[in-house]
Amino acid sequence: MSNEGSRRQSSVSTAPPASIPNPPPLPAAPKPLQRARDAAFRFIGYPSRPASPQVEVNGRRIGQGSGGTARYASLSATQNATATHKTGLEIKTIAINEKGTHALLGGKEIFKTVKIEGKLCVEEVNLRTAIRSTPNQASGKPRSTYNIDIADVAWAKGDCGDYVAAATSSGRIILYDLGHAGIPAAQLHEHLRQVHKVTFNPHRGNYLLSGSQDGTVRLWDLRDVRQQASALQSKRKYSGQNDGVRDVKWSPTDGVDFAFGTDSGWIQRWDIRNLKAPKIRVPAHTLSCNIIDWHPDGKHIASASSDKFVRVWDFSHSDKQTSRWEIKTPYPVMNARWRPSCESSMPQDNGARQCTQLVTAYDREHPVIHVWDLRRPALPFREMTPYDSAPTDLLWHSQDLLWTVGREGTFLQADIQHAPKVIDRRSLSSFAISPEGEISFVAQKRRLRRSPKLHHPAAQTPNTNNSLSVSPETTFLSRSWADDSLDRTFLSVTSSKRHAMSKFNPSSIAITNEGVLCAVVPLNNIMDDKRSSVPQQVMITGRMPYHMDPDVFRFLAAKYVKTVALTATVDDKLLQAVQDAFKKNEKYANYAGLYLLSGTWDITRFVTLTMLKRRAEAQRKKDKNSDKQIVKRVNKPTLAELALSFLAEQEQSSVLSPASILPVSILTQHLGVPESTSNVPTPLARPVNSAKTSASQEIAKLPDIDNSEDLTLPPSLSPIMHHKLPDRSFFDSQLTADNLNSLQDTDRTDMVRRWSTQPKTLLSLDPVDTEGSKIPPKLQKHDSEESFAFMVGSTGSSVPASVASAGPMVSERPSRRIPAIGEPSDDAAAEYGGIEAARSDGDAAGSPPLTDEPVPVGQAKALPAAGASPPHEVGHEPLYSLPDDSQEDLEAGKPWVLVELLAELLKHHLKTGDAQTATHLLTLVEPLLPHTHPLPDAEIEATVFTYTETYAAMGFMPDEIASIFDKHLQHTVMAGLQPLQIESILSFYHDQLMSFRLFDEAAYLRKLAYPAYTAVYEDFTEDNTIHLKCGACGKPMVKGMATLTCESCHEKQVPCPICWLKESPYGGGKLMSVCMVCGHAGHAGCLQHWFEEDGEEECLTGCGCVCKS
Amino acid sequence: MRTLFSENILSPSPARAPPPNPFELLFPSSVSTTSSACSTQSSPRQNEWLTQHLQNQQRSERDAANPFSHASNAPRAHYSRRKGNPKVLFMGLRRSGKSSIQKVVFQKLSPADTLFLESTTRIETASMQSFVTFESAEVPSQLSAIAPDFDHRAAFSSAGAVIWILDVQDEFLTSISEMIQTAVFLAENYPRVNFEVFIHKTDGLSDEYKNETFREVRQRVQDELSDLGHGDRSVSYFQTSIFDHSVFEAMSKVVQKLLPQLPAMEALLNKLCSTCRIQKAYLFDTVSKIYVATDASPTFLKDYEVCSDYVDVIVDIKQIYGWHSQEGDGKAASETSQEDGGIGESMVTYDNSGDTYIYAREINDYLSLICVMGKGSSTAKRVLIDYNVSILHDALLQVFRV
Repeated sequence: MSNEGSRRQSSVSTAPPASIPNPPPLPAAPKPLQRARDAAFRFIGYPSRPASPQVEVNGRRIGQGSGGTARYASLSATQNATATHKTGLEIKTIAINEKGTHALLGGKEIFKTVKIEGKLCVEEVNLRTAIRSTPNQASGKPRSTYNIDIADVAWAKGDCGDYVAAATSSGRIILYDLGHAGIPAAQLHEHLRQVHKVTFNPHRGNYLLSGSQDGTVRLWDLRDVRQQASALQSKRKYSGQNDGVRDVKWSPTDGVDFAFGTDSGWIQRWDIRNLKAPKIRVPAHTLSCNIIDWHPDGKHIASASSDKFVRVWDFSHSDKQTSRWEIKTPYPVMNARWRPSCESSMPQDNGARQCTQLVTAYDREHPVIHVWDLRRPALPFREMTPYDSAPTDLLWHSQDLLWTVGREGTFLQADIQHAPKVIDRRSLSSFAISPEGEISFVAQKRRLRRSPKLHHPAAQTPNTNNSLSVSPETTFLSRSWADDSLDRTFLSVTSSKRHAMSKFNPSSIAITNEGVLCAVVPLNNIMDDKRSSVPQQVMITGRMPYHMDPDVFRFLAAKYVKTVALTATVDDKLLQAVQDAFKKNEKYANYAGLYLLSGTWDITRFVTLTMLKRRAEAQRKKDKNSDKQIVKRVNKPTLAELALSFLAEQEQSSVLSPASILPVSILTQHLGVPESTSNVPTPLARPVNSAKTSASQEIAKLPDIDNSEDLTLPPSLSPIMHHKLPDRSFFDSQLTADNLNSLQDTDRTDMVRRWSTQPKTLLSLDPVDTEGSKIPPKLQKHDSEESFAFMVGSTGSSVPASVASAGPMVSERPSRRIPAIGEPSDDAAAEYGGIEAARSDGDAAGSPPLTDEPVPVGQAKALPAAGASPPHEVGHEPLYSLPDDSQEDLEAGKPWVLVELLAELLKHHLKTGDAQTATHLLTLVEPLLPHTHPLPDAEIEATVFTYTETYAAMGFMPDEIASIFDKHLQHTVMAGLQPLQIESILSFYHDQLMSFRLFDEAAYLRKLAYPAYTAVYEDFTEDNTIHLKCGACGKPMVKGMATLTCESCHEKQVPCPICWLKESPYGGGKLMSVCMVCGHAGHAGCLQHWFEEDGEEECLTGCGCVCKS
Repeated sequence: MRTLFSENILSPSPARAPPPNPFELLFPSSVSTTSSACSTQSSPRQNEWLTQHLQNQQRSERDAANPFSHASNAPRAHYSRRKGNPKVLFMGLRRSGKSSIQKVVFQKLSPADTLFLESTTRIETASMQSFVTFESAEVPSQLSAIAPDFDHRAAFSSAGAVIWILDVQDEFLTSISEMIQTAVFLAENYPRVNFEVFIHKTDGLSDEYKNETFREVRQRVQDELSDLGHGDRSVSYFQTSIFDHSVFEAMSKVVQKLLPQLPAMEALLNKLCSTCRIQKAYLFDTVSKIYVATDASPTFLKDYEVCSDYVDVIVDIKQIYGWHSQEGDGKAASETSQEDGGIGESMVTYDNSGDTYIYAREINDYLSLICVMGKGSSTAKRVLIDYNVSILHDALLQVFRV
């Protein structure tokens, strides 16, 4: 039969040559060095291994070694059984005969059988040559087929073992008898379209199933071939599909059942006796289901699809189901096969077989083959890349040997034991950090590769038997039946199990072993037994070192006093406020169990208070003799001037036209002049005299400032301004509401304002101030619930504080000033500009008298925020920093210098990543610092340059920039703190707050940072929209309150329950307020009236909620 | 001078007589109903098949006692006509996208413009003249197909497929129940009519959600049909969206089932693919970008998209240059051969190596063959490929001539 002439030696791959004659397989001697589990299995397994070829029809080949010991077989662990057979012609499909000795290769130009012995691959029957050399058909007519385009081949089993079937793309199935290869035994031509798969029943080898593109599956009986070779009819036809059947497979356990998968992703189980409807029908995939494969237990089936999933279904019942397990593959799966079962490692299985692995091959562009283990589906177990393009077909010869064919025309017998494990190339440890500071860390020890060679000398049985009926022991290549995925890196059994194993009585097992020899443990038993096999990994979850407890963080973030209401002079009120603030922080830190931190607060409090007291004293002393002291100072440019000069350099072609100067810039000019003049606390001046008067200073300064501003003012025409205009006009109508709301805002909001704004006197009730003030864009829409929530939240949390520390500030109307800086706009600004100009005129007019006031210190000395304002108008202007009234270093010679202490504290807390403490230290202490330790000049210049660029990029106008420098950075720099560092601290803390979802605190921090520290707020000034929330569905109402109807749920919204109007009759416009407890809302003005003037405490809807509390 | 595509593809002249339809030659009883191609108005002429059908139906009711028997001549004629002209019927709830699909696929409406479509109130038909005449009709949702006063014979007996459009972005449970009623009705009365489900408007949904919904709908419909005793009735499901190619692919598969020549065409394409190492071959209906056949290898939407886009490119170029001179192949890589009475062909490569390229060849006025070539069939083997394709060309023409 075999053609000796055409026999070709196949190339033998990389196995080491067996130089030593192999010893015959021996019963495994006890191996003391092996793990207990292996030893026990091999030991108990060996005596129970009878040569039992009739164990099970299907399990014969694969189940042959089921009782075998580990190393009896002809292939040792170190040998590589990889073998190849090159044909040079594209091979499309492969089939194996029942005994596993021969492969049948099919393709367009190839159709032959190959005998594989060990590593030798020899062509045996070349059907194609035989067909071509036979001119006549069986009936005697001339041969009509010259080319058969084979789509799939199958090798019959059992009695019909000599028959092979070839499915062709034309819809014809041709049967050949290998004994009479030249003439087709039969042609089965009932399918209209291409036949995708043919398969023989594993129990009755004469039953052939064929699945075709025409949506039918047909059953054929080969026994009919002998009677009616010419016109073989199909026995049964299973249709009902209107899309192609991609794969069809017989059930391995139930001889009458089969399953198929279709082009549209259905998989179905049928009984051959029932022609009408399938037993089970599942929409398994969204794309074409390319392959299905029964699990050896007969219960489960795997389906693989172009949609990159391999899913395993329980096909033993017809209930509605979803996939039991699934593997997400990286590419569309074209082929998938369960790996033949291996001995279970579970002691309770008594050596029964289990199968949890399958191999997948992908579409043409992805040549890799993966072996997956369902017990660890996220990661392929092994991978190999046999060809340049994906293999066209593959099947398992045995536990370890995978046969593949490819477009390159190479048949390959791959030893999967030698395929690299994916996990060996992966890092075995990984970690992740949650935003709350929790860390999860997974680690695993990589075991050194065990070298079995030491214990098991290579053993390969010389295989001389080349008949088809070789005895299984000699032809079968195996090294171990054990589950090779259990290597303790990928998966391993738990130690308790292995402990139980060691107590096994081998002899008792050996008896029972025989019964379950070939039984396959149902897949769900393996998979559901979670303990059976787990990746042995150590996982650590916990808090990061140096990371605060989130609860503590939240507590402190909410509780810490952030700022102190500053006064122009150091008086008892300020001292008290500072002391209170520090004490509170100390107390909260103590509550939180951070005793060290509370100590820090205590010390800082002490140092700060000492410093303040000293300053107060110095101030008082100065007050007495301030009139006389006149100091000549060296004019050193302030930061603002520096910045303006930088800007001027950038705009070299700035021709100042009178028209370009808008009223606003005039205003700021007005405001800016005294400030910048008074802002010259240069260290150079310091040693000259401790007390200086303002007069000389101002006289000396004024011309300079004017000059510099003249140089740099033109950009008021720049497009940014026009761009901003709409916003501005929008604000204007809205801000009254804000003002109203601010009336009820208490201490904390006041402090915010004071920190970032410059309120005027009570005059501020007029619209001028409110117009001029700018709210950070976040709060643009006042009809929104969110803005409201923020308001309410801040109010609520600050109520107690307000009671305690409201002080004289409560009644005042702070209004923002910074915004006014930022708002040179055409119309609106012109209008307000006029007013403000008037006001500033008033200021100017008022300032001469003010200078006459008894205490001209504030004016005389460098008052960064409001130079001209008399210090005794306490609280009329929120200050950004405590006016530095002492030019001399009051801390000289003292054990602590506050700024140095602060720097050290910052350094310490930053080292531990504690931005919270650092931030609060900064916000509390920084404004109180004296201007005695300025940064080095070079650093100042660099810093100013950096910030100038940043602000310019942010769209600030030059005068605004100057003002920012005046109000914020001047003090910071002069106090000896690096603004860049502060900015980074603040923005880091801000990030932390955001990650902890502490939005109130974050918003507050942004307010504090505005406008100096752009990094903190710049991401939050745009693209924030605020909408009303629908009370019914909770979605935002984009269209607003115009219709009072939610557009997503069409629920009618209830208007304000007090006035039932669109705008509150009590003022406040459309601003709504909501109780965070009961969720009932109303106009802020109405609620104000309800709670404040009517003195109600409960919710007005009568829900019983005591909203006011 | 012939160009790749006939010059009336984009500017169809109404005066031009439709070419003889091979199927109508087969069945002389069928009346040529092809109205002017690609016309969009719902003129009375367009409803010809309905009115005519009404007459036939009345006649057949006179003739035959059993209204569903196909024994008499008239229904037989209809059955044959149904085979001749693939006709699909769109059904579904209101605003589910029936008109949009019909307009986009058959009338080349831009998908974005479907936003402005009015809701349909009466049965509207459209037909598209191609190698066969595709007919489509839309049954508005307020006409319940199973209501007794609905003339379902007129609607269904000539239909080849009923497409149920299910808006996945809407509440689809009601649609499912109505769909099942319709499917059962069809299964009982018109078992020859294919029932297809378009799970529509899948654009913009996440993959997980989409696939989960797809699976759920399929399982639910299948279960309910099984409960009602029609589990053996096969229903095809497609995920579609008018904003990508999925609706065209789904329509292709629907139309393919209505073409009796499909196995023959497919076998030819299979042969060609295996001979010329073509990765994927499509036989396109040039006008509608519907493919009427493809080879049996697994289909990927990606391939179809590439080919479909290429058809667009060619049609666009034809529109600019096509019917003046042969500079119509303005594409660098395309060329026109003049042999064989001016068969048009062109190719374009889309990767650097030039190994994979697309090969287009006109089969007749309406059909074009678009192939994605694989490795090993480089342009150096053009002669062989051309030869093989010309054989396929002849064979295809024979298929349609029979």
